[in-house]
Amino acid sequence: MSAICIANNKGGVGKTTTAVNLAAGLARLNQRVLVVDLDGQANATYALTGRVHPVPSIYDVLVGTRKLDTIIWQTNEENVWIVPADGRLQQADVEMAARPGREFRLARALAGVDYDYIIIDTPPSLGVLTQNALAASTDVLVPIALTEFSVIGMDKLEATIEDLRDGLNLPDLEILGVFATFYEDTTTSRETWGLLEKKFEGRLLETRIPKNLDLEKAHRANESVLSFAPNSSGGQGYTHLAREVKKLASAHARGHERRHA
Amino acid sequence: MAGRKSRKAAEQPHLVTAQADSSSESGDMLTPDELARALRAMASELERDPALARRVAGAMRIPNAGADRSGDVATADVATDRPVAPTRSSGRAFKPRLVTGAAPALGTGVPDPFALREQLGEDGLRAVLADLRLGTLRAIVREHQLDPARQLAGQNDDAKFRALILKATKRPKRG
Repeated sequence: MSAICIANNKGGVGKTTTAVNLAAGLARLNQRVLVVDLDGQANATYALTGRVHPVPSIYDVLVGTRKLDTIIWQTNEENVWIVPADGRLQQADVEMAARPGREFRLARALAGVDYDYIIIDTPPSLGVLTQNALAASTDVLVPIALTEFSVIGMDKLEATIEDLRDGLNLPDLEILGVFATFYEDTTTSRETWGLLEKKFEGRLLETRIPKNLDLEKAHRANESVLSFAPNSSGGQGYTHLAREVKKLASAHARGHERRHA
Repeated sequence: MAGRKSRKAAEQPHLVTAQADSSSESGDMLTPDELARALRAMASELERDPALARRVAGAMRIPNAGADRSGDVATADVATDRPVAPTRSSGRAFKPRLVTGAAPALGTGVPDPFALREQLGEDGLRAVLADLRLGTLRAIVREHQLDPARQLAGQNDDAKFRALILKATKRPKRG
């Protein structure tokens, strides 16, 4: 099983869109996928179920009043389940600050959960929720919007991952890949792509997710773009991303098994 | 006397429950099913119309009530040992609604249209479906195998999905 955290401390780079559509793409490759919505905006929950801030949610699991397996829902996508979020998560950083083992609450809750993939959507910050997501993950996938300033802030995410890897003893946590979102055939997009190639040599995925209105329309329809408009440029982009991620995650898992054999 | 009472009720529809209640001695009391249906319809209207919900909540507010009287079970569970925040800041804090769908009858996960029809009747099911978007409608059709001929495969027309669900649920559930 691979647990993939979709992380970037910048907002508006396509984290939720990626969580929803990558999950649907992997499901179409006959994988059973669990999405964990850790963002207090609960947009992944809405996009996959049509429900707005349902209670109980992952918040209740993190504060210890619910067991995770009691709040797993079937989503609108076949072979995709979700642990929903609600707005109380926006206060979770403060509420969990003084609790012992606060970074491992999600990891503990997910122990024994059996899916081929767990995809964790995170808030645009590096607070305790994102730390929980990283501590519960085997891989990190970083979407970067191909816009001006998009690369700024990446150093901080990388430093956080390194700190967590050392400080919390997570030797296997690594950045599975960085990939581009909001790609357009413009000078800014091409130049930023060039910067990414240099900065993330060997870790930049081939997939470029284009800027595509169908991605937004699919959210409004409460389903993935692969259900709403599979042949759109966005649909094709996420189909490609799912194949690429599956290949990389399998290779990483095999490496992990060899190291621990 | 009876004529005066019914004219008063017609002029003041919001008094219907009270009228029914006061006439219980003469055998006009709502049955449990009717009462449940009326409450579900009211809840549905309150969810649909936030302004109405706010007005009703305002009318129901108990003077000087504490900030924690939200009625939300999960919030109350979590918040029992916390000090009560000053009124002004607690007014700003996020208070989740207990939402398990566009209507509470939806439950969690993909809604069951057969159960909804049984519970709410055809008009109730139609009203629920009107609130659902394409993804949920498509999931209902898939999960309950309502389109074995796959006539709606690749379609994005919400209305066709609603019509199919309404038609298919007239038959008993398969399996």
